[in-house]
Amino acid sequence: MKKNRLAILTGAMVALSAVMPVMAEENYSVSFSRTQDSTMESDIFSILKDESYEDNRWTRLIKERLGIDIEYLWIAPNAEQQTQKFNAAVAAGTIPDIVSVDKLTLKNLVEAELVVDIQPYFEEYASDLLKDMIASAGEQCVQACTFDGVQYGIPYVDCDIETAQILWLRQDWMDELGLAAPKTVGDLRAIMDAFMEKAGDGAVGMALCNDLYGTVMDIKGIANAYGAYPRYWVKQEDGTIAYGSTTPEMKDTLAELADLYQNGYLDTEFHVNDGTRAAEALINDKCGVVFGWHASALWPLQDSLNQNPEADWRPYQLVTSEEGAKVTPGINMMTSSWYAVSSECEHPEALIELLNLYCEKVFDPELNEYSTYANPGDGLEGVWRLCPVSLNSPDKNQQTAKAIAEPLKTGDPGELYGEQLSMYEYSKAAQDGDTTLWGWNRVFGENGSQQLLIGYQNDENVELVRDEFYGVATETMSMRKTTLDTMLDEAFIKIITGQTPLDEFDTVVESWYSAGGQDMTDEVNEWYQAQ
Amino acid sequence: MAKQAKRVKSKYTKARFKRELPLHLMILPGLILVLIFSYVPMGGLIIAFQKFIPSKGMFGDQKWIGLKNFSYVFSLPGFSRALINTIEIAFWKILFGLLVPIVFALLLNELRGRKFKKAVQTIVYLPYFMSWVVLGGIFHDMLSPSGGVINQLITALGGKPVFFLGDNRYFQGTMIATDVWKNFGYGAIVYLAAMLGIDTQLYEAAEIDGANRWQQTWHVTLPGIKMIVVLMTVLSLGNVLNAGFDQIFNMYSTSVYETGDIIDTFVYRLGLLDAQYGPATAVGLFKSVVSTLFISVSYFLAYKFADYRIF
Amino acid sequence: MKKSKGRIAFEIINVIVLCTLSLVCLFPLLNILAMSFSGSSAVAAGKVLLFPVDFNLYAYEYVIGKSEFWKALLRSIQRVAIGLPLNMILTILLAYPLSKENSVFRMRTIYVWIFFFTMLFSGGLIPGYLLIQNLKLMDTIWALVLPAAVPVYNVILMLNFFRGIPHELEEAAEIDGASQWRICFQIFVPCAKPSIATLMLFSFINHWNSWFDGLIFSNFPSNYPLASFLQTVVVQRDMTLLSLEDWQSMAMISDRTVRCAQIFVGIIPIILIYPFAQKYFVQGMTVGSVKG
Repeated sequence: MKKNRLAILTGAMVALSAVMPVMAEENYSVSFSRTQDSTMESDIFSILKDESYEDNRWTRLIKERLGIDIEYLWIAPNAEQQTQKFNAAVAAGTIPDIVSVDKLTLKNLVEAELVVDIQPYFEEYASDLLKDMIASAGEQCVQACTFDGVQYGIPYVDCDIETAQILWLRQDWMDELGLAAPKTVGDLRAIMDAFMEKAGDGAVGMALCNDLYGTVMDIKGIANAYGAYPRYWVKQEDGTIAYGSTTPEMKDTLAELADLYQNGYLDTEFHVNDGTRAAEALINDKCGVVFGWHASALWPLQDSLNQNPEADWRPYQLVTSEEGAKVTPGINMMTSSWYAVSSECEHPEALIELLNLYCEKVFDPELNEYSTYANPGDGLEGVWRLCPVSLNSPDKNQQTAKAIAEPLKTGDPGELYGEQLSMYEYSKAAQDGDTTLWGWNRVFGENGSQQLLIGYQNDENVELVRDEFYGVATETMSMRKTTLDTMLDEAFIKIITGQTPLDEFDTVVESWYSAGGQDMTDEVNEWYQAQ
Repeated sequence: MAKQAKRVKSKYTKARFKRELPLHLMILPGLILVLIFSYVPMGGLIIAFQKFIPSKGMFGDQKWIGLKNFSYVFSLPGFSRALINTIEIAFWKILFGLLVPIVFALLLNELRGRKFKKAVQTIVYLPYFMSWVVLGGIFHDMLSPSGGVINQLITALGGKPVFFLGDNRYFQGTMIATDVWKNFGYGAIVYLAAMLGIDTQLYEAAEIDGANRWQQTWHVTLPGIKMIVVLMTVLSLGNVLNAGFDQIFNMYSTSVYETGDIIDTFVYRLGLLDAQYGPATAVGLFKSVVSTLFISVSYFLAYKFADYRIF
Repeated sequence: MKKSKGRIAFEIINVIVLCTLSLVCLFPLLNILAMSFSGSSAVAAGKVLLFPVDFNLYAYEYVIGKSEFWKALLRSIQRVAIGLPLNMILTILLAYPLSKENSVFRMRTIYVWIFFFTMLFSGGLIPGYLLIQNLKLMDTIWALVLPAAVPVYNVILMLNFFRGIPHELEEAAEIDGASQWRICFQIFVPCAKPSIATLMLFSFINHWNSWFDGLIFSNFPSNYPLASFLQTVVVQRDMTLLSLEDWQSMAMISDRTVRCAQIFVGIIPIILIYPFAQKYFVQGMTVGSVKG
């Protein structure tokens, strides 16, 4: 009898739950697009066999809580395919309901009248937590997506200081060879010489890849040493703004790089190697010097540890071109993408609701579900990427680094929770010898990159140089910037690889100005004066 | 009287129509497919003359801007370079694509052993049937300056490694050489067939006159295939703006845009990577128009000098 | 008849030259094949030329174990299975009426121009993409088959071949009261066997090798045909389609040997089919395209 009643009860519940979604009337689908990610394959799907891009803990949560079905209009195998698919979709006027785009693309979408004014939805639906997070990133992120007073995007807020470049060196080699921290480019060369001798056949002095301005294995670190800031809009001595790729300092940088290439410090094929290939030298103990951002420890350097547990990398401040000069890393607005909603989308509020949910699960201190929805640990990392939208916080990582510094020494996590607790546990395990978690400790722990970034902000000998332009893309930019940048990059690569003499730089800068660079510079200066 | 003539005529037309009806029916499926999949998209060429705003739709109320897209594209620094590269690469491909097969056909024609001849033919035709995706992969590997077979050979002989696919000094040459490599065997087929068609009595007569093989080749074989050579030359004119998208796209990179960027790759990047739909369409249209001119001229010449009618 | 010394020397040199040419054509393929069977360290050290070093089958095991690869292969087979018959039927159906003289088929010239024009002009990528999307064909096999269903170049070759068939045959059949359909399929088609074999080969190769449409008209990599799949893996060197897992650390296998194995598997069908068609295509090609 009792059993029976239970059966009836469960039956009713099943029936109810079957009816529920219909009753809720909230049930609808929202479309996205995404790019496949090899680290997701290895860190997530190889462990969670029953989850996929289209069906996973986040999509199930979203369905359950918000009644939203997540759909992918397409999944691209790589970035180029993503761009191609996206632009074809723009031309066809059929972009996904929610898109994540950079500044130039956002302008194109606004001009194409494909996205909606998101401001009213944000005001109505955003949770306090979400509002706080967006506000904490500052006005600039919102300004960069506001066209004629209408806000078309929600910034993917991120941390500016984290764009600063760091020099990563093989510490175990430094110790073994008795080398000291480099101050100048000359010191760095001496280190490269010593490392290359040690690494033997096939050694590479400094790892570079074809993404010249990426986050790691790029040329920004060495450029900063010479006071050059490629792709930034930098303030000149006369108060005007100039494009960093065209300043005389850039020429010095290229001279140095060409010399490095000429003398065998760089991989002869660096300009066609993507990150994965370029990282091989780092992973296989063939290279011990690389410039990169704070998270370089997680990729590619963690792979180096996986291959050789004896390896150890440490972050160092950037070098300078002259003895005794100030260290001058460049930083730009880290927020480089914005979420926008298609004008075809029937429920623009979905974006805000999704972001609310994300903040709740990942950042809310009281719920503490970080380990379920963000980083479960034990080799299973970054499941937050399964969520179609995500956010960062401008100072989250520095807070974490500061908060766990003391507990790491004492071994007592105390009141830590959420992400901070996870990071503490990772770093602690790494300290205790778990090399598979080494990367986390090198970001958050002692001698980690976050501590170094805190140093950048406090050290009197360091002067951060900002990218001064954070407005919406100007007219000429949206028309010509890509083409003009390609023109410069090509010339730079040819100069570095010795195919053309250094003086080609002056020629290409001249043609850059005449092909639209002058207009762009004028527009930027006009904007700058108005600020 | 007139009525009767009309009736006869209409009867005649009817009969004729009845006779032709099956022919029309045969064409119908193909015609429908071509109308849908070729002619409907061709309507999209109008955006070459518009400031194209996607949300308004392809045939929506777009702003007409005349030839502005064209003048914009022609002002881009990359365009004239791509045009020149295209013509340069295409020119050398056409030239060697004519010469090498002829020489090869002549050599093969001198061969006595049937089986050997057959084997050589089977092997050299093979690359023609492989896609540039596969060959691109193979050549990337073989030509790599670090670890590629060719460069190992060069270093073993005491040379310096050459970055064939990443160095502007070598890129065009590499494209031309690999293209000729892929196509020469197949290109020789028509010449071989023409040589087979030469009357053997001509050779016998020449031999009686005391001509050696070399003289026979010069005085009998070459004149025998002259028309074909003229024809192939003329027809290849239509390709001056086709430098080979499949090949270049699968083998180039940013560092060789200077010598390797061609119109087709330029259009691809402009349209699909930079999202400049109007200008990209304008370049495509420009290429079609110029190509059509060249093809028309070449067919006219072929008709005039070789009495060749394509259809 | 006795050969002169010069002649003998020439013949020897000729054989050597032709052998070298053949080797040059074959070498890249043999090299890839050898590398696919070799150990990764031997490949990296450049020890592999024509024969495998440290012979093993791991790269093939890896490729065969990848469901993505099989999916792509299946997609390509599907494409050929639908595309090839469609191409051939349409080619014959178009070439036959268009091979008639104007006096017999008055609309002929107009039709020919309608088809020929598509070889000169095309709408380009974006309108093509739009059309496929509006017809709801994205990610279907039809997006790969239908836009290329009418191979105009092949139609022209076939048309010229049909023209070479003696009129007497046709006239005799007409007197017997045979319909156009019967004349086409019972007289012309059997006469055109070499041409048909050649065009089948072309059509097969075309479908097998096409990669760009696969990239554009598929929204999900799982729908790529083999050529598109190879393009992303081999040329764009994109390893995301093949999850990295732990094979990098394996001694016998590297991305290079895997690439070689994939390339080789991708061309096996071509190598298998082409020798059979070869005996026809010399005849098929020359009669069709060039009449001297």
